[in-house]
Amino acid sequence: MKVLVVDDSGVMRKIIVRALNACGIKDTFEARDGVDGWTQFQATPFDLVLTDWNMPEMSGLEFLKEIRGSGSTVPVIMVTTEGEKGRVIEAIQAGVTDYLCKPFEQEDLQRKLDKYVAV
Amino acid sequence: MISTEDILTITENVFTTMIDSPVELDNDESDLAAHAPITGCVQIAGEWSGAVLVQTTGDFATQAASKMLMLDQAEVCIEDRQDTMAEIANMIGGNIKSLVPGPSTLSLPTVTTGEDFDIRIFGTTVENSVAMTANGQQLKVIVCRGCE
Repeated sequence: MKVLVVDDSGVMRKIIVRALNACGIKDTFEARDGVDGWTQFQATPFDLVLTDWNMPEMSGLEFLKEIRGSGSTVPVIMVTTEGEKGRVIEAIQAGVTDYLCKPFEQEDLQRKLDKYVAV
Repeated sequence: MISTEDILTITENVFTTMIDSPVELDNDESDLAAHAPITGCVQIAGEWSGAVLVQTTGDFATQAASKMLMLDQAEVCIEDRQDTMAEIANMIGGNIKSLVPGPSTLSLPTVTTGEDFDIRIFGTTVENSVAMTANGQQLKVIVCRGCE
């Protein structure tokens, strides 16, 4: 199973990758922003994408729209501080699969991953 | 007006969730400058505009980075501290954004390190400044609001 983690924060990427590793997922890829994420997404068939919202170059929302615009139905989990109702609705309308607000407990992330990770 | 209670609740939530460190209000407003301070800042633009600054000691930034990255404190480098403070400012600022009138957008974080510096966000005034302690280290969250 290949998982793409997109976040401009190296700390958050490490936390998420650690949780993925705990689920038995070792095939993880990291991107620093939406542009990098979209480039990697086009080159590799991913089974799951976790993306931040606020990033330089291309936001997580724009990245999500690129993914859905390509016809992909890959599960995309938005991991973000953008917790307002309007923002969540915006993400749902763009085709997000799941949503996790920061800060989160390790167990919260683990529960989200368990829904989509099949080792 | 973002209340002291709101700032404390949000800060406590971020620090207990991410690094298991309780936060308490502190009356000591003494200068952080003597403790190799580090400041994370995010700006909010939109219906409500302003900025949120999170300031703490270099030692506490190292402790936070160590816990979040699961590294020994001796292994934590300046980039780790900066990245950690950026993410903490992003989380605290993002949660404060959810309390103010929207729609608004959150900027990417900036981090300032060093001694003997001042930060001024032009076009804003300090709306609230809350001094706290976490793990015995000073911590301050400042909310600046754009001048109307």
